[in-house]
Amino acid sequence: MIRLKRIEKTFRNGGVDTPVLKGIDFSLDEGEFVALMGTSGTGKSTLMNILGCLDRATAGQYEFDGRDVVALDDVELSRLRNEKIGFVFQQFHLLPRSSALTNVMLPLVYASQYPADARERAEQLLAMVGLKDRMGYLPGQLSGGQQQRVAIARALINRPRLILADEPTGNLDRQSALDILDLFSDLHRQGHAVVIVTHDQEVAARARRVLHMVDGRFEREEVRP
Amino acid sequence: MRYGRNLSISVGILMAHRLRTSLSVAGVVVGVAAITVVVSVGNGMKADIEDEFRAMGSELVVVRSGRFRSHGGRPHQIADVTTLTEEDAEALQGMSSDVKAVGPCVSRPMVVKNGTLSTQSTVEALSFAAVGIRNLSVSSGRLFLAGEMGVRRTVAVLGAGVAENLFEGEDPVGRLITVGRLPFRVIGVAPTLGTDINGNDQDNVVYIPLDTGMRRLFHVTYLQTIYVKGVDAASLSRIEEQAGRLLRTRHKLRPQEEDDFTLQNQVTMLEAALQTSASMTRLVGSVGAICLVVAGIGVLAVMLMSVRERRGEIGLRRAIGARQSDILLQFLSEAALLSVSGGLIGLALGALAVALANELQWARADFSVQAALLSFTVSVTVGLLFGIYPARKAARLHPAVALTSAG
Repeated sequence: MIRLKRIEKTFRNGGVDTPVLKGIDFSLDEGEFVALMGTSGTGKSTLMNILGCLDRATAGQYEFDGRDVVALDDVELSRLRNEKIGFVFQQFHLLPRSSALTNVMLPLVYASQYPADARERAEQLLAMVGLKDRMGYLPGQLSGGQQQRVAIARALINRPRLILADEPTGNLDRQSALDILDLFSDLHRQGHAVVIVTHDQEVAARARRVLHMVDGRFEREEVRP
Repeated sequence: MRYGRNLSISVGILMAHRLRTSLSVAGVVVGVAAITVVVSVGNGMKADIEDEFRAMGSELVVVRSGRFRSHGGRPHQIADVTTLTEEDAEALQGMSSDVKAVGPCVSRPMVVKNGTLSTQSTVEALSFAAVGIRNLSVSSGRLFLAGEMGVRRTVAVLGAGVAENLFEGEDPVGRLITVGRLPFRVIGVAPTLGTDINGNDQDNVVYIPLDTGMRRLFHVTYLQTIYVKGVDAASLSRIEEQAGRLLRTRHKLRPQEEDDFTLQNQVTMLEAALQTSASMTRLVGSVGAICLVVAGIGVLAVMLMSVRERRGEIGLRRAIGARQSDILLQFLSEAALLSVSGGLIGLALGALAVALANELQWARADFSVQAALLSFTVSVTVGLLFGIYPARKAARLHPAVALTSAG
């Protein structure tokens, strides 16, 4: 599904070049569960942004479903993000003045066609993540774990094939974190490809494949049966 | 559809920041309200002026004895001259076919009495023709009859103010008053007219026949004013020129001598008066326009703050598929929302102020739909214009940066 070749990313700040990714080769198959591990500053979030088409690589090739991502413009990239990728962030990024239901439906605003069953879909997803009785709540009225579950429902509303999660349990207590990880395992079983960025060994243990990053490169790869 | 859904979210966000939103809207409200009121009062002023000239009759050239200078827009006589006579009036009458009627007048301030009540007022002696030219009318009694003129009859028509001062609500018609030392019989009372555009009280006047005034009361042989009515507005400039020449010849003025009379063309006076009121309107209107620019800066400030605060939201929207143009449009519509709501409130306040001004008789104000629409359109345009910069800033925010820089 995804193929990266010799991806490099260099940030230029005040005339100083800082290389963050130094030649990453990576491929992801349909339905895989992969964890990107590394201490902070190793470039795993940068790689995540490039994977999610939120940022462009300085050099290298990127193919998504056989399409050359490097050649896509803003409109095409936005459409790809909207249709094929679901994002989950450490800070949840929910709209604070909108209900859980509205937040879940937000990606549909940018869909090429607004589905007639938008509301039913959002309600189903909220029920699936265990928030059937909290649909009208504002994010501030929900716990951290519940907010992250709203965010996961939002990531799923457009039925994407890839879920990208950046430290999804970083702001959560242990029990909530476990619940969220169970959710990701469920999603993997349902056939979604899942990529989680984390520095937490326990989180990475859920994945079938763990890629350890050090200083902008993959240092080693673990594969579990 | 896609934008409609988004707009309701925007409304929620703007409502959540009530204080900030209302501060930025306040400028638009004041600007639109100010322009609406100013233009309405300007319209009222213009209508007032036109009404006044219409009442006087607009096809008029006024000949005044002596020279006049304009001080602060009002004519002031700078020398009393005794050369303008009844014979001049007759000569003007026969001057050309452009002249329809000629009405001579002379007036003096005098004390007018009814028993123990007395008042200082302007006694105006005028010919039968002048009564017609001036469009005088009565609310009770009658005007002068043709037969009463030229036979030195002591009859008078009172201005509404004089009637009130001397008779305090009683009907003056048929009663006797004393003007100077001469008794006059009141035959009519004029309706309330208010002040004219030169600030003269048109109600504190006593009208009497011309010859009575000249020979029995003032004891003068000269006139102050001759009203010359033209056949139409186009004839006025010809009359002005011919009358000037005729009077110079009759008064035997040598070429180097200045006129001992002043000619006033009503049409040019009307234009001048309208111009004065229009420039006032423009002046205050431009203050309103400056208000709107300030309002635009208010919108700009609020939008910039909003973009800064909502970087996380912008990043998230980009991540879930918003294009740059979607973000641009969202922030532009929020700016438009601010200025449209401000504009509507401003219109409502302006209309209210106009109604109040008329109700309490502060000023005559004619609400102008065109002006209201114009200021509304301008306010929305200003909002959009000042919304472009922040909206572009939001749209160009790098999604990855927006997501990480937000708390």
